[in-house]
Amino acid sequence: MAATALGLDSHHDAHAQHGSQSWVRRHIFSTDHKVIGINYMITGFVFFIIAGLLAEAMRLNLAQPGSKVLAPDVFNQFSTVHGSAMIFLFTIPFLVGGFGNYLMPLMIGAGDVAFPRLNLISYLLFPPGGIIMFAGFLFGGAAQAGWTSYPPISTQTPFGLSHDYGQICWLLSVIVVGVSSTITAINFLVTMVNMRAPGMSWFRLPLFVWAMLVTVILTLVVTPALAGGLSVQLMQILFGAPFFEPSKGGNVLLWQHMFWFYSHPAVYIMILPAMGIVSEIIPVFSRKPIFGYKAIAYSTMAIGLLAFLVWAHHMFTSGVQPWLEVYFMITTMIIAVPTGIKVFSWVATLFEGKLRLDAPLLFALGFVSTFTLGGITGIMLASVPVDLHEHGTYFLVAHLHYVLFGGSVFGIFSGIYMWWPKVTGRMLNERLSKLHFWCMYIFFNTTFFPMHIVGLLGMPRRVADYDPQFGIWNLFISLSAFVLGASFLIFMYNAANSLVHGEKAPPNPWGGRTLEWATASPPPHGNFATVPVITSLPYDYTLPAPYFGVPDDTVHLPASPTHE
Amino acid sequence: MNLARVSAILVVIFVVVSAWIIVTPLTGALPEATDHAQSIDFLFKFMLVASVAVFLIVQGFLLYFCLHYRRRKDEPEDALGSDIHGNTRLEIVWSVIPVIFLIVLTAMSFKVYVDIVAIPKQAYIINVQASQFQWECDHPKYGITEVGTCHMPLGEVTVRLHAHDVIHSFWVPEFRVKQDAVPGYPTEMHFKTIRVGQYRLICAEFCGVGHPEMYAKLFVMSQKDFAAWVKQQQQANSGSAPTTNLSFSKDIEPIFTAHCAACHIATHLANLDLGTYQGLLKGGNIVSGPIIKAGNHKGSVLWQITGTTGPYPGGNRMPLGGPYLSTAELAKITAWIDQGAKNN
Amino acid sequence: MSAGSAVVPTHKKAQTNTGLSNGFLGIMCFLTSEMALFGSLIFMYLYVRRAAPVWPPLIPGLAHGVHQYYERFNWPLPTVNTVVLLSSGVTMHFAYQALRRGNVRRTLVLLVVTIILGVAFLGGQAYEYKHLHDVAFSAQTYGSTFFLLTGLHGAHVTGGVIFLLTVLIGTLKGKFHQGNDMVFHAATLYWHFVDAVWVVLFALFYITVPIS
Repeated sequence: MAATALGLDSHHDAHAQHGSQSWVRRHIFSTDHKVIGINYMITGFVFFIIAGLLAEAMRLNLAQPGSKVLAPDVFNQFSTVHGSAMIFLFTIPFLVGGFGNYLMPLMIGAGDVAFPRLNLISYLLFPPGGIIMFAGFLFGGAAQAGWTSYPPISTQTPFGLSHDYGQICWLLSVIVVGVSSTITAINFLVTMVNMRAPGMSWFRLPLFVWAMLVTVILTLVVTPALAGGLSVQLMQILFGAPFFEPSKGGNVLLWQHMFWFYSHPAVYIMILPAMGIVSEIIPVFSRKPIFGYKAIAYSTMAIGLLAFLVWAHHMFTSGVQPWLEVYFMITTMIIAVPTGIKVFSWVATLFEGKLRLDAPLLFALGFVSTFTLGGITGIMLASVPVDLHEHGTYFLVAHLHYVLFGGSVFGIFSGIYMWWPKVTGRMLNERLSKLHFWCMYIFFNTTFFPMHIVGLLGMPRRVADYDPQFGIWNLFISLSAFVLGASFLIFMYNAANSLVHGEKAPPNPWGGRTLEWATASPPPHGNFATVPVITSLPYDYTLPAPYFGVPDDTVHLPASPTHE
Repeated sequence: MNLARVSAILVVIFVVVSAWIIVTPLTGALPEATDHAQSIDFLFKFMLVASVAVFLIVQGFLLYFCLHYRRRKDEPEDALGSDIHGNTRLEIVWSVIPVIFLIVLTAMSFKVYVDIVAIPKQAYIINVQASQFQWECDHPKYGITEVGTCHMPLGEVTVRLHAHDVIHSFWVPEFRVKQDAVPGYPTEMHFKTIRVGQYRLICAEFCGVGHPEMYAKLFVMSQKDFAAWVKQQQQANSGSAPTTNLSFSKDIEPIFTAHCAACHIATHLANLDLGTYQGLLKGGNIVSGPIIKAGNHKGSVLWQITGTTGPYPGGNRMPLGGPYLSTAELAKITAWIDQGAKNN
Repeated sequence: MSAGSAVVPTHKKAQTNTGLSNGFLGIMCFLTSEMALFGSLIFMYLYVRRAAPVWPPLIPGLAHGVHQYYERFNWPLPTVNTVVLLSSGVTMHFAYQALRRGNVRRTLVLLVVTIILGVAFLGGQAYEYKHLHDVAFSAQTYGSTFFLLTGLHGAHVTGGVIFLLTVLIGTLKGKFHQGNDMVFHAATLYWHFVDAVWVVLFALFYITVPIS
């Protein structure tokens, strides 16, 4: 069997002891990037479910005007923790810590990351960091100033409490997961720069690796900047240091600059890996190379660079100087260009393909569809005059969900469906997978599209209640949201079933042309028995398998997809 | 069904939808109540039409390719797609066209924005104080304060925003503009109302548990109606306004103690001592001589430097950095000076 | 070692794409993140300073006649402290060079001197903090920014001293030597970084504050 040929190799003496290691050592305290990647994904998914339930509770409250399902401060806590958990405890860890850890070393032909023990430390910081955020609920109330945590509302002690423990928990939590992220970024950057297989030059990198490269550079530079801001707010809350207190020389707008300097690049940290995943899936399921590989690579770099220059477009109504607003409008408009190039390239890849409309491709195309819409509303928001009306309304809520849910979450699911066989060694049920896709796509749109309209008509955001004129819209949105939430049960059932009863997965069920498919499903420790030597571009379908070029042809793997 | 046919269908859909967008007034649902609203709506419609085009192109071709190029059942499992890596000309076209479009859009936005931030030569000034969770509107010209409502005349208006506690945001959807009220950092917005009516002033920046309820009724009135309203308010207020027979020690000194002590009683910054009446006569470094001119509030440095409208002697309004004196306090200072600025 | 050769760290040599070791790249990435951290806090300081109507800000309610601030920072102490810290950077540099040349005794002597100078710097900082009477952390932002930035730097120096002690022990035990100098090199780079940050903070807090 192919797995045996590539199987446990003698290079890694430590692994000879594996039979005697406990389950905990092997599955929780392992330094193997694949185990760590899976752990990130499982932990991240748990937070996804919890944060999703918070949103459903909010939608229950918002289903009717005047509803008192949630007390106003509880609603605000749910809204804050929903956003914060989705961003810091799901999207970023799942994409970077999860997919990045699992796939990146495989795709570059490495045996593991540069610092495996540091990798484990990164992961071990994640669950406690997340739990601290939720601990606020036990101490009189979680943070309730929104995920953006603007002072003075965030430094104001909520009515009825002696201290804002919830906010302190929030700050500590984000600092801890930020440290975890930064360590991961260092690890990944060194890995990608230094541990690529022979022959894998920069322009032979798979596009997912390009995405990870730019993502971790962004992470490395901006996450510490956020840590600075968070510490400063913590100093004010704990010790009264008046950084944001105008009467003592502080400045309220300061926080917004420090926060958004991180948080805007953060949205690219969340979308670039998802775009990388989509760039991997579309060529495989079209059975042809990606269209415009270099353009996509350069666009990724351009987006990374521009990410640093646009942050104050979140502050157009804050009282920032007009000339500065014009500058940020211009840079924000510019960033639409590389994004558009990618979208057009993905669609063009489908041209003259031999498309297999399986779940991974459906989710990837769903991403293209919804992310494009989110990008379009982003351009609208980039125009300062239009933003003056749309900022702080449900139009913005719609935009952000189109790019973060329609973008990152669809991207995540397309990756899950694509690499499930590789990671678990089992296949998912294709019909259930397609059902999940259609439910998620349809009900995602019915939930979030109407939000554009109510926002334009005058519904502000972060409200537990609203003017009765928006009642019917909100009812429709809430009902859609419930169905959308329920659709995840399809996936969870499919996943559980696959792990127990699923068909065994071959090494390359989809006929991919990147290195992770040149090893067993799942790959053994050390990933590759012999170091692969790269001799061609990625996505090269003119080559018969084995892909890229392996030193000798003793390994014969199926050239075509064997799974229907 | 080929590429040309599909393109033709997309073009038809685009033309139909765009025509509908252009022709349908947005004003049905949300009337345009300011001049800015008109230009912003135009800009928005332009962007909407362009968005339809982009979306149709991307989604249209995506759907078409999915249907047209899918592997049919009778084709072999390992059938490949065409070995296309790119098309330089096409890639240049689809890079350049968006750039041109975005330049046009940015230029159009810039023009509208310049109008929005332009400071009008003459405008009716309203001071808005936002707090948790109400809107208080001061009319400095008439000395009227209203809470929970805001009346303004048709025409150029300047709103000066202050926040007492946390960040709030002044938003009237029919006006199409909003501006944050930031503690410690006064902000301004300028617009010209063009439509009489009753609107809702909404807080658009999360400010706590009362945020969803932080509304005020905003009335745009014709000049005549507004004048009538002002008269009515003044008559109603005159009985309660405590600005007759003011005493320095009872009415003015407390103001100094509350707002000026740190810099001008505990220390004497700029050489000004507000701890004693003599200090007012001695004055300080900014303007030499007394800071009060009996009977003439407009000529008194004290009135000039604390009031809502500049220019401010020395360049900064007092108290330095805010929070500034309330309308009632300013009214007291004005009245006391006009009553002779006596040391009583 | 020939004087003109390129300084390529001779760490555990795996075949890396760049020729530089993973450890070296790792420490450089780590220092980048540290620069970002200090950078954001320095931005914060500059922003607060620029945006405040008056700098240093006034302390509300202070008794009549009391000077608002500590009589301008005593020039001698911080300047001496700066010289001490920068000197420790020089000794550290030569300590590392000595290790690479295989002169373990010289390495140890210079390393010990570096550690002593580092501790002296911390002592100087502690002394200064103790004697800053009117610069409060929470009364106004002048104190807050000063203590936060110099405090964070001090924490980094402390961490650096601990790192150096670890390296000292390792060198004494023979763990770090000419053929295995990655950790020593990392400590040197970290120490230089801490010096560089101090130069910036010194310029921002001591040299450029208007004397009111």
